[in-house]
Amino acid sequence: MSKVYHYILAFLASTCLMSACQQGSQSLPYLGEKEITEDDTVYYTIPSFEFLDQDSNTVSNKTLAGKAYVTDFFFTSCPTICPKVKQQMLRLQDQFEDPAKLQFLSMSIDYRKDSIPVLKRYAEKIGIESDQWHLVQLEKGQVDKTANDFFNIAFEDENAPGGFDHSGRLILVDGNGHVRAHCNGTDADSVDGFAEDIKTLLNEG
Amino acid sequence: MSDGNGLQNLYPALTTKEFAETFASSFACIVRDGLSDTIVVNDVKFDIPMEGIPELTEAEIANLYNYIVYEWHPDLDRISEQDVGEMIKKCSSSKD
Repeated sequence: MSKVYHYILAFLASTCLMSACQQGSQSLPYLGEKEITEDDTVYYTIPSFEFLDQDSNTVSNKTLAGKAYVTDFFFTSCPTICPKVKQQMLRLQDQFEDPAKLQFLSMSIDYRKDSIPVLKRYAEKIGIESDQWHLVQLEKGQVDKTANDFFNIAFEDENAPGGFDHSGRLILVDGNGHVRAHCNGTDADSVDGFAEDIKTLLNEG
Repeated sequence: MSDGNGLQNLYPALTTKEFAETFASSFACIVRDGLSDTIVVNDVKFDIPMEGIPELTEAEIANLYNYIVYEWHPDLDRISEQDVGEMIKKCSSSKD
């Protein structure tokens, strides 16, 4: 249910985004559930997380604090949408090469096979460095919740090619852990719009 | 990628002579069963395993093959779903 809720919220927020653009606004909306108290609005924040990346460095909400980052879900042997999403992520990295400005977090849902050495080899094959782009492996039992935390859907499904089903959505998280934009990572046009959102966020300062 | 050129050293191109010479004959088994061997395409080694998609029908595999042939290998013959059945018999047995 909460997955569906996230999607509806994300959709509503993206509709707001479009109207914000029409008004010439130069800031991105805050996506997800928000809590409005008497004197404050508390925006949805990515729950705390901690993983080891392809170089065995810790990557967590603390290490990424103060930095904008883009996330996706994938697995290395995925025969379906992952290649297309990775191609689009590489396009984004070409546009935003400075690790100080934008980080990437790719979470593998294959808790069986995508160990750190496998992720390291994969990183070398696509030529990415862990100072900007972190590949991490989720643990069994962690996949559904983590995907939900990051506005995605991913789950084990023995009928899906490769044993896992997941969406190709990318999200943009700001330095405070708030989700500010999303796109369909299999669609170049959608990713182009997302790149504009990243520029807007980075210009917010 | 949709231009058939693969992606860096991760996914090999489909436009190459290796496709026509080596993989055309085992295409159905690669798509259906995946691939975990190291392969060499355009002098680059590819060794990240790929899962298969066993639920694809022979007709669907034939369509995939014929698309690749139509786009990048006009010198190869197109195949039917019966041909895919034959191909699977051959490439499955050659693996054993």
